[in-house]
Formats: sequence, structure tokens, C-alpha cells
Amino acid sequence: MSLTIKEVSEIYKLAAISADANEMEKMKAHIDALIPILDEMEKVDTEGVIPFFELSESLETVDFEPALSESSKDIIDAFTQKEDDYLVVKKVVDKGE
Amino acid sequence: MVIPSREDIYKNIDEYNQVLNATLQIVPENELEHSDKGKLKGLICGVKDNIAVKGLKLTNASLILRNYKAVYDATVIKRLKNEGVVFNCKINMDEFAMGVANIYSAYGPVLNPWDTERVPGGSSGGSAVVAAAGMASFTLGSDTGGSVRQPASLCGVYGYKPTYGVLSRYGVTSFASSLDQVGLLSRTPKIMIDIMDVMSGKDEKDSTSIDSPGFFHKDTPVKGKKIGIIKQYLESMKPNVALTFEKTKNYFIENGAEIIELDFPEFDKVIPVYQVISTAEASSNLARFDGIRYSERAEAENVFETYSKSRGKYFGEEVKRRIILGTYVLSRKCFDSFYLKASKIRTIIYNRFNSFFENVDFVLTPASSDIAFKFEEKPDPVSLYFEDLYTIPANLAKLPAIVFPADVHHHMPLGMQLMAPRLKDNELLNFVCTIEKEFYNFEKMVEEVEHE
Repeated sequence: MSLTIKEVSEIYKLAAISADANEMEKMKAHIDALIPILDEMEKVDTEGVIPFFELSESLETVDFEPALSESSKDIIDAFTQKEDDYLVVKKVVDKGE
Repeated sequence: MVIPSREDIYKNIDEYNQVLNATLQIVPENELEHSDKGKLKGLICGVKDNIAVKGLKLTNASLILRNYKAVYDATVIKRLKNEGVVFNCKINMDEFAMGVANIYSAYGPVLNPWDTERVPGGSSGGSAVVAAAGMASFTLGSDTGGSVRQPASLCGVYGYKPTYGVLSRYGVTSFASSLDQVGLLSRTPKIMIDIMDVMSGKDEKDSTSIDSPGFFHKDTPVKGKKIGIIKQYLESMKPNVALTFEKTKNYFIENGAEIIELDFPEFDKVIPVYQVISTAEASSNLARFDGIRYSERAEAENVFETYSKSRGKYFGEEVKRRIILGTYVLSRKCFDSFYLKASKIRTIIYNRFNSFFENVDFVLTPASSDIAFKFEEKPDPVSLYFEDLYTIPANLAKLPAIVFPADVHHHMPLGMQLMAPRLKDNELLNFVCTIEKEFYNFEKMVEEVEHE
């Protein structure tokens, strides 16, 4: 499998990186050379295996209680407008604009 | 002297730094703090330029952060400062820690101190060079796939990557968060034990950090140890590496260790798994460098153009290659076949190494594919990815590993690697202290480089 220049251009757009045609050609060649190496993973039977990011989270992530400093509490208490647990602030961006 | 004095450190900087291009910022001797208290007083540390030291540069060897200075200390730095360590330089590296030869710095390549026509390894090549050339008492690097250990092998110093989580990553620029770990480089493993005692342990600013397993000096003889060697690696070694591996293995046998052969059928999947996971995480982590928040900004007409032009202009070629690949493997079309698949194979590798350590105390492997190559022999980018073949498994399996000097070929050092079970860092470091005393060490390496 090899990528088309159009696909490479789309990836650049997703990555938010500008590039000229020459750079994209070089990148296409680089990814084309890598894909057969990545495809080697297909040969490993992973039926029923848990992805590591799930395993890792359960093994090692430590939860910490978010601690509010006294000054943070003061700031929240001093807020004039509140709705339920939210602080009401001035609208900065209007979707309609 | 294995650990150089303050005076020697600045003498070495004057003599070697300009030639080797190992640093990006030096704190002049008259501005370097004096510390007379703390467990580590007197030690001078050089820091890879992806670790924050308040008030010093934090460029990651990239143009995109060329004017950025750290506004706070990384936790590892803070803990060292509290015990009397002072910091004398920010060290050159591969841009954003992506590379294996230190040829991808925006500020020029770092040269190997034993032969300036050769690379020092990477991405912590500068940290290995500063340690080897005695331009600091020890250095800090970061290790995502072998970035501390592979340059240690090529520069003849000790390079240690702790168990994932033992050192806080707070204040360390993220490359691939599930693999990144701060590491140490020095001319002797002895001081690493004292440094880790101070630096390790849970940090509320890094939720992946864990309690220190404990670091202290103890006699750890070779006799009675079970050393694993991986069958598939024996078939893949180049001649220099095979000779050194055999010599090291024989030292263990002659001193009463038992050698046990291990089967690692996924060994040739290590590179694709690492490429997919590390680039996927990098593409996400480096999204913050967009020309708006804290990086160089290119001229543009609108916000999106600001992002793309700034990143296009100021990121280097290798960083762009990795971001683009990472973006590709996370795209809807590729997620299952590449990212999910790689993550599942990582679980298999993780379990494989855990099962190894049910039968052995340590695993002995090569550390690099050969001695350092010459700049003129620079392989293509894809071939360079294979330089980390032997070091990546410790990152994938979150294990501690250390590279120690073991031999010299063609006047160039070559190291070997030992891996240990998760959280057996103290046993590993003490075992390498025994190796330093009985088998091979930095001083012997220097003698052989000069007289081989």
C-alpha cells in the first residue's frame, strides 16, 4: 500500500504543518518506505489481547484528589454570578459570528 | 579522577566544548552557585535541554523554542537542588529527543569525544558527551526508546533508565508520554544510587509517578545470579557486538552466574510497535507548539495559517516526519490496523518480559547495533530507526535498564545492557557497581581507547 500525494497533503493539514510540493514528495517516500515495516505487525496474533493503554491505566495511574488552595476558594467565593456549579463569565466567542 | 572536580569541569569545558558542540548554554564558573549542604553537595549536573531548569534555556534543540526560558524547575531538578546539586549547562540533543545520532539538532550535531568524525548517539548524545568529557559530575537525559542508553554505549559511560514512573516527568518536555523517562549518565554507577535516592518517588504533579523502590548501596555478587540472554538477539548481532557480548557473558559464567536462554518471538516487531506508539503520542504532545502559546510565530493571515506556517517553518525535518507519521497512524483509516494493533503487541511484549523475570534476575543484551558510525556514513532515516532495536523493549515494558562500558573496538567504546524486573532498580545499579569493580569500567575503557 502506498499513499497518494493528496492523502499526504490531507495528513499535513490534520497535523497543522505547512509544506511545499517537494517536501510532501519526500514525506510520501518516507512513509511509503515505513508502511511495509509497520505492516509486519499484522503477523502477530492479537486475538483477545487487551491494548496496552487500557492495561497500563489500570496498573499505574494514580488518582490524586484535586486540592484547592485557600486563595482559590476565596476567588470562587467572591465570584458574583454562579449557576449551579458553574461560574458565569462574559461571552468571548459567539458561534453565530 | 572518575568524577571531575569543579575546577577540572570548567577546564574540560574550555578545552572540549567548542569542538564537541555538546552544550547550548553554559553557566560561567563565576556565576555557578556554591552549595555546602545537602546529601549531594559538590556535584555539578549538566541537563538535557528538554528538562526545565528555572531561568535557563529550554529550547529542546529546536528553532521553534529558540527564545524560550524555563519559568519553573522540573521536579527532578527541584529535588536535586534541595540536596545541594548545582547546574552548569543545558545540553545539546536531537530536536525534541527524536533521533539516534544527535544529527538532528537545530544548533548543529554533537561530536563523539573519542573520535570527532563519529556520532555520539542520540537523542541524549550531548548528555553522554558531557559526562564522558568530564564537563559535569553527571548529566540528565531522557529515554523514550534508548536515548540515554544507546549514546552511553557509543561514548563509553554508564546510562541508566529507571522503571517508568520512578522519576517524575513534571517539567520534562513530553515526546511520547507512555514511554518517556528521565535517565542518568555518568562515568560511574556508584553516584547514580545516591542521586536516585534523592530524585525518585511519587510527585503529585505527575499522576504516572510512583513511590521510590528505595536506593542504597549493598554488595551484589555475580555468583548465583541467573542471567537471561535472548536467543533472537544472538542471531542478529554484528561482529564487534557479538565479541563484546561473548566476553561479558563469559565474565558472568566465570564468576558463578547461570546463563539462561530466552525466547522473544516478537523481537522483530519492536521497531514497528515503537514507531507507531511513539509517533502517535508525539503528534499529540507537540500540537501545543503552534506559534500562539509559547513558540516562534511565522507571519500569517489567520489563526490556522499561523499554526501551520509556524510549525512548517520552525520544526526540523525529523520532527515533522514523526508528527506526520503519528497523525497518519491515528487517522480513522489506520487506527485499528496500526495504533490499536501496536498497543496490543505492546501488551504481549510487556507480558513476555514479566515472564522472563520469573526465571532470571537480569537480562543481558547489546546496547547499540555497533560502535558509533561516522558522520559521512549517515544511513537513511528509516535505517536509523533500527539503531534502537535492543533498547526499546525496556521502554515498551516499562522496565529499568542500564548500559555499562564493556569493551573497545577500533579505538571506540562499546557498551552492553542489563535489564531488570520492574522496580528492581536498586538491585540493577548495585549489580553494575560489581561489574564496574570486577570486570570493566570507565578508566579501563579510556586506557584501551588510547592504547588499543
